[in-house]
Order: sequence, then structure tokens, then C-alpha cells
Amino acid sequence: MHRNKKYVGVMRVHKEIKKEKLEEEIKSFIGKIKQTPPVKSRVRREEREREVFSWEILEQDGKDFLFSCEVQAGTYIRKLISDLGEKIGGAHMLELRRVKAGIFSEDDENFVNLYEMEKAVKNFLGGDGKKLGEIIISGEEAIKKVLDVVQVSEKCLKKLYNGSPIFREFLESEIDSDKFAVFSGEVFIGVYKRKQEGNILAVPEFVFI
Amino acid sequence: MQNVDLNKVKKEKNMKDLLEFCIINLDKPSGPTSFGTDLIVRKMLGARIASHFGTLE
Repeated sequence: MHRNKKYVGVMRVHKEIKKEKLEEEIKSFIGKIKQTPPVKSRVRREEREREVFSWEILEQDGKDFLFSCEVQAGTYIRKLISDLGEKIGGAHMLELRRVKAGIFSEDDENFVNLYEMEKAVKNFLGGDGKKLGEIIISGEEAIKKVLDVVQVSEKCLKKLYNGSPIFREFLESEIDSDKFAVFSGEVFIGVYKRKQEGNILAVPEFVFI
Repeated sequence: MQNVDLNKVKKEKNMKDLLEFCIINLDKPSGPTSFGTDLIVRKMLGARIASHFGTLE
């Protein structure tokens, strides 16, 4: 999910600091920042730019501070806090909870914990699928929310399922973005990337089977 | 032929179709890992595949 994330967490500072002073220090981390991914990460460890949209202190308990922050995808919060620590005599993260990721939020009606989900599945298996129906989000609907939709004709499906790129004659609607979801009617075919090469308009990123 | 509630049958089939490709906005507990939670969900649903969007941190 390469989308903005919102977190709530707890950090511990190593030296006593007043809430007001900490809030002042935090300000320099709001906006565009440079960050090097931590040792334990799945990406290349080179400095990169990320954006911190907001970072606030919610509560203080001695050296522990409850905070919330909203950041661009790929921003490491533990790193953000340790970088802040460099300026204030040390700080580390104790707890972290993601409360929002792109179109999914803990405030949504369909947000469930494992117990609620287990109960909904049991009810469904017992013949009452009402609750489960409320919880599950159709993959097709979610994709339509995050990507532009391009319609193709049913005739070209066989080719697309064989990994074919997209040609003009496949299209039933225009391509307006670099990355898009291909549908034939209500059927989701896959995610494609624009690539103009000869008669080719786009190539598959993945085809959904 | 037995009395079959067609609406019910239809509804359940739809649900099974939905379960083939769906997303659950799940509150992951702090204990198990993201991959561990995938496994729990997969067993619960008897699904072939379960995955997650991103790990924490």
C-alpha cells in the first residue's frame, strides 16, 4: 500500500524534557525530511526524502510521550524517533499502532478484531452470513477506489490471460494514468502500466487469475 | 425435491464468490507477526492464500 499512513505510538525520551520543548523540537521533523532506512529493512539503505504531514504529542507520563503522526508511505517511525533523540539526548519507540493506511482506517464500520472475525465466520458457516458480509470488502471494489479503471472488450480476454500487453483494439475506454486496473465489465483482469512501444499501449504488472 | 430457500442459496454463493477475492480491515493483535496473522485468517476461512498490506515500522 504505497499510501499515506497514520500512527499512534509511545516514545520514551532518555533525558527529562518539558512537553512544550519536545513539541518545539518535533516541528523541525514536519514537512520534507531525509531518512536512511534502518538496518532491518527490505529496501536499499540509502538516504531518501519522505514527508511528515503531522506529528503531535497527545499525552505525557514522565519520560513517556503518547503521540500521533501522519506520514508518507515508506517513512520509518522508529527511525523518526531515534533521529529526534539525536537532538534531545536520546529517544526510542516503545509502542506503535497504525490507525490508518490509505483507504483503510480503524474508524471504519468494517474494522474488526480476530475474535469478531472468528464469530462472523462461525455464523456464516452456521448459515448466517450477515456479519461476515458486512466485514469483507470486495477486492474489485477496493481496487476501483485506489486505481483508475480501464475497460477492455471480452474478446481480448484470452490474450490478456496469456500475458499479452494492451493494444488499442482491446480498449473500450481511454487510458488516463500510468498505472491502472483493467476490467472487462465487472471482472477484474489485472494491473497494467503504461508503456508506449510500437502498437503496445501498456504492459501487465500482474494478471489476476 | 426438498424445500430450498433459493434466496439463501444465492446469498451464500455470492458470499463464497466474495471470499475468493476480498480484503478484511483487521485489527492485528500485538502478539503474532503479520505473517502469523495471515495464517490464522487463512485457517479461519479455509482460504488458499491470505496476505497483508505492509508490516509495521
